[in-house]
Amino acid sequence: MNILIIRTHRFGDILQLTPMLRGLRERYPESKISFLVGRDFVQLLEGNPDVNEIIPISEKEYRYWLRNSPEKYPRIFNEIYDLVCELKRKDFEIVVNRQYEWGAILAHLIGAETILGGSYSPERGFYFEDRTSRDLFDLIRNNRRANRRNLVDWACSIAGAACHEHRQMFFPTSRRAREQVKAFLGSGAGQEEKSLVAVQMGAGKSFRQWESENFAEIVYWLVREKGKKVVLIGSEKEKYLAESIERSLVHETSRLINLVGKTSLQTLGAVLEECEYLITGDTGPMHLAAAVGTSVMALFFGTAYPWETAPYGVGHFILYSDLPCSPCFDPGECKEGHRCKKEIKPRVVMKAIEAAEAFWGDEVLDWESGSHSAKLFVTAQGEQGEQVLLSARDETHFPSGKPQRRRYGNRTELPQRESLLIKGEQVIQAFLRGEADRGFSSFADYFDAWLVSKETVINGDLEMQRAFSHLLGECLPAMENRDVVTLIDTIEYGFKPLIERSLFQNHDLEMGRSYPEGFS
Amino acid sequence: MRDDFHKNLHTLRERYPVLAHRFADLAPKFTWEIYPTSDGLRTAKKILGEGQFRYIHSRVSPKKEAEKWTGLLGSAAETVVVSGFGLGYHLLGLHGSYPRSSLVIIEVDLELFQLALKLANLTPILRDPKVHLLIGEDIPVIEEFLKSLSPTSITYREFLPSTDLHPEYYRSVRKIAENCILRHRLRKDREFSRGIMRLLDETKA
Repeated sequence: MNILIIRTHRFGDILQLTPMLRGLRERYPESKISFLVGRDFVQLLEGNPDVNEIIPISEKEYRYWLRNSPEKYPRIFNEIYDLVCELKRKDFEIVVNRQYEWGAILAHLIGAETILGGSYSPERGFYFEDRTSRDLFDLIRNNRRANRRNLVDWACSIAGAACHEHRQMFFPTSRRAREQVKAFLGSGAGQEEKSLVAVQMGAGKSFRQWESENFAEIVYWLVREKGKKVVLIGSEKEKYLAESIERSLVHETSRLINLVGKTSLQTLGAVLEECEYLITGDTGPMHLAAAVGTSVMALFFGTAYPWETAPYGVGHFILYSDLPCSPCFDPGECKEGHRCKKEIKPRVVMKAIEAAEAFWGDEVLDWESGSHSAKLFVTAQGEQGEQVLLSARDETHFPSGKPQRRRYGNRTELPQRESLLIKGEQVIQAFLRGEADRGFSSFADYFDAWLVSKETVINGDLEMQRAFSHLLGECLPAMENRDVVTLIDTIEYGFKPLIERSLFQNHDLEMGRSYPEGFS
Repeated sequence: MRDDFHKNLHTLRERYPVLAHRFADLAPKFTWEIYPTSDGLRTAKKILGEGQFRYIHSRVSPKKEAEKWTGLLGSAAETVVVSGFGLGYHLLGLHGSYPRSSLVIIEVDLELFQLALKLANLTPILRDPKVHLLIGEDIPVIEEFLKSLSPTSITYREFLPSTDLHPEYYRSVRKIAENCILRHRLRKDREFSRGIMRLLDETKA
């Protein structure tokens, strides 16, 4: 059976689908599961054992070009036309659409037998075939506050995945990312005593953005009063916030690491793995922290609703500004002067952090915000196996044996050699398709991956070391000259045989392949 | 090498007499160096000056390279428009794998085309009436030809080692080809194309 999942952007939303993928794999063990995802987020799914095929789409570029470069319309039309034709040929029996109207139109064009999560027809427009999706849509539209289920659990229900105690998000960080992060953070950067705290200051939307001066106050408090080491994370657009905090902590630079705009998804995941906890709004890094098993202190206000999107797992904390108008539908029309955000004051957040630290340290959770509307919740697993939120004010509601922080140690990682083979093939395919920019950019990544994996592959073999050095001498000038043919040849007839020889050596088999004459 | 050139030129004269006439007189510029490869075919290196160069086909196996390039086409379209002649190996591969498809081959570099005529037996594609060559043509000529096509299905491919040598020219060709393909798809498959346009509207929103 062929199954397609459609979710192209927002990496938190993609991570929230990983338990559903596991559920689908368990329900249909012989199926081939493909995932259509934005090109920027392919890293989130690489190494996921429940995904057989990742189908990237340049969705972000298309959106940008459609808005800003109308002359590119024919190219985008043709590329999407070709993609849809390719998807049609795959004969998907089930499509799980988690991309609203866009995904519904695509699912309709592909012509799957069963479409879960939102369908489309020219006659009916957008509608729901499955009852669960219809219920979710109606609940969120008509009575959002009545919803007490996390979207992770809703997605699992939509896909028909059984509930069990091991439901969790999944994101495997690569060895390469972990090694890079160790270099960023410096050796012994609080790993043993775990005093490293991550702070995510930015948010995707301005109405989910807690004021930067508030975050600054929290960072100063963590560094100066709590003795923590703080790592600032976020995207390029938050660089100025981070730099301003750096300037203020000029005498404590050893206790502040600024990684804003400097991490990929992989290295961000590896950074979060090294942290005691993350302080954040309702953001993608929040879900990433939960997926790698790091505790979260999340600030929810405005449109963010903790029952829907709280970090999935046990022992995460949410400080929620619960006003009568929460969660809001239209922050642009707020008549309360964004009071929900103002209720989350730095001193309330500090109290929440102290309460969470006590809880994580197996001490008694003692919480009193002093604010009527700022409420603290802890994530737990309910009797049905789904996520529940417990009020930190009422400890009697905790099930016997307090919820313990669980570390998700079941990372799987594609072996280095196999990963290099796949990357090499991707470079070749990009060039053969005529995608020059993508080819050169992915060759640079491939080359980096080789430098990290070199010792594993070559393993002290002198002949292989000489061959590798020769290949370096070939491909570096080829990159400068934009000599596509030489780059393809070095991968196909140079690097690939080295990897295959290394694999054979590992299996104690005789290597019959010799180094091709064209490269001597 | 001489044998191939004469065979090719003879076949070219029958279908493209004006083009053949141009090559009979074209003086070589010696910007290409020729090399043997492991699978018996030849490749060439374009000298760009200041120690820089680029190969036009694999130095090890142009045949395998052609197979891989052809393999990425997926299913056959009635008409395949290809930018970049190279030395023709990928085109021979394409022609052999999809014998029912028409090919429109665009190449701006006359010297490269002449070299291809000298190095490989291209008669299968030169004599096939379903193959159309647009060699050294100006952009308006390319545009007029592509607009005149009316196949049931059409696709566009590039051979990067060739097209990367003349990026501005092929950028224009690509735009024309994309527009032609779009217009063709809107005409031939209206309902499906409307669905794609709807999808693009949602993408933009």
